[in-house]
Amino acid sequence: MSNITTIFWREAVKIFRSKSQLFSSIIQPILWLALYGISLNSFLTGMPVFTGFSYFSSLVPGVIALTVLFTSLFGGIGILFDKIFGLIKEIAVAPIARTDIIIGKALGSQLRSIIQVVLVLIGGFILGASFTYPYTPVLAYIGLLGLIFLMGLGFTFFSSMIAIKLTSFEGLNAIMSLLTMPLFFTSGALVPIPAMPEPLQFIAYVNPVTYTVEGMKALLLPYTPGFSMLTPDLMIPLSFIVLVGFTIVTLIGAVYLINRTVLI
Amino acid sequence: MGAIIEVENLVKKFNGLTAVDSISFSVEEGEIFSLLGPNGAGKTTTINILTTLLKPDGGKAYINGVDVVKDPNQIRHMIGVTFQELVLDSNLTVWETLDFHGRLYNIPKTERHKRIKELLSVIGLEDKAKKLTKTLSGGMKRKLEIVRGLMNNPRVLFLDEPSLGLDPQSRITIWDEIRKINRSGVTIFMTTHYMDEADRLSNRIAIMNRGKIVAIDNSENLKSQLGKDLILLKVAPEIKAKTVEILNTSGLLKEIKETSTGLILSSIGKGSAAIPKLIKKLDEQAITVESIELKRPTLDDVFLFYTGREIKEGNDWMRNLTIMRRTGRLIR
Repeated sequence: MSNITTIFWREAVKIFRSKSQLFSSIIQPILWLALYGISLNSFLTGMPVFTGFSYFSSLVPGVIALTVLFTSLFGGIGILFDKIFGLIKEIAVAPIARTDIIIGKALGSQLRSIIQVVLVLIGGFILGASFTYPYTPVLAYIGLLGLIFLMGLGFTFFSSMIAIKLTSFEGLNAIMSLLTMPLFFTSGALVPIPAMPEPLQFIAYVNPVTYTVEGMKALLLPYTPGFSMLTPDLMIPLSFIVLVGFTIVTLIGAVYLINRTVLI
Repeated sequence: MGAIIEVENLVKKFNGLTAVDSISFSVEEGEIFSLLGPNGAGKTTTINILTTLLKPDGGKAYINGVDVVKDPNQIRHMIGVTFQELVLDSNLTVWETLDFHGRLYNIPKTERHKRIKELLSVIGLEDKAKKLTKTLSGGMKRKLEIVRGLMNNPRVLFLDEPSLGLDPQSRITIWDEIRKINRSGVTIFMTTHYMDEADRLSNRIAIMNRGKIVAIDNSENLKSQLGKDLILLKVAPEIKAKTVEILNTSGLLKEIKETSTGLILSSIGKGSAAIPKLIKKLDEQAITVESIELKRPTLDDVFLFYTGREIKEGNDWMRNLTIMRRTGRLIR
């Protein structure tokens, strides 16, 4: 455990030392809310599926997921950075399990995600979001943090798997940029899942981001047929089960790969 | 004192190329041991195996009796390592760099902080503790890397090319630090391709060439093995073989070695007395000598004698690249 803390500590120091990076990565989500969200809001609000809440409010969970997705898909960059600059060798000759490197780095990435999500949420409220909270607000935000934490970990482990095998930043950039948009668009972030064409719905069901977005919607907004994928009592547990599974699978993959890779 | 590092028939291959070719040696506790050789000789690969970064394809290596392959974690507690390239996080301060390293070894906080203060005072960097490492000069960065390897009180400190890319003055201070560390009881295992570095610092030198160790002894013995005097002889390449044939019959020479630039002869008696006789003999056979030189053997000659090439014939662009990375002229 203390080894994980050590690796995490260095990531945290780096995050707070490069604040510009922290803030620049929330520009894109805020632009989605401010430009896309507000312009579509007046057009779509009032449609039968958006009763009791605005389209803009329903977009906030999606944009939060986008923020976390983006940060996490690049979460492997900590490992890649250390590999490219040889810093991984300092850690590799120390008596520390490689699993601890993977987990410590991934937790660092989650710290970044959570700070960004809080900032995006504040941005959302300033721009006019309001939620109905079917349970309680406290429960909603605890649940929300849990969902993004799990999804973030999962995608960071996935990114780490790629980073372990790569030798350049460009490679990670290319692969991850290619994945961000398809995962985002097929997650129900912009369009309610029941309103999607069937083939896209099928993709949505196997996309882990879907369970984060739908789980958040179930915690923040009223259940609405034609908008919600499932009733909140089913959706919330299902989201957690899927995301825990996703995180475990990607963790096993990343640990498997790092233990079979020469780190020099 | 006994051997702290023991290596037996160590082999490492990369894609069919043998980087380390069945080498054996041992390092005594408390000594400074240098692996001397050109780039590509297999020095770094040897260090990587001993420091548990690479697994060998054959042979055995032990540090303090512990097998490096079977029990890497126990080895990691006993060693400190300074790598060939610069391995410092430019986002951390000097203090944080050492603190992070201490945490990696689970050193308790009070002990860690005490140790950091000690080490910073050893290298005179106390006043830079709060500065980011990227603001340090090349020599200071190197010193910081070296003492970082001491955070966990290692039995053996591995230094891969400790003074590569440094200015002459920084090199001398680095050498002083290495001697100081050694006097405090730490065994030093270093690699270098600088003759003077190996000559001045080490108790014993192993000359490594193309994956093999070709000679191993202290600097004095290595030199005296070549005889008292060395004669360097140059002839046109096409008559080299014939020259060697003639010289072999002279009865004046202990050994004859061909190198890329000429011939090295070690004389049995006084070199100055042998030269006129050798010239006469070659003259009789109509061999034109381009130049002839008499000298006391240096470590350079020892190297040339054993490997047939000068150390600077190694991979120059690779060394330059490493130097550039080290001094921050590339990417960083």
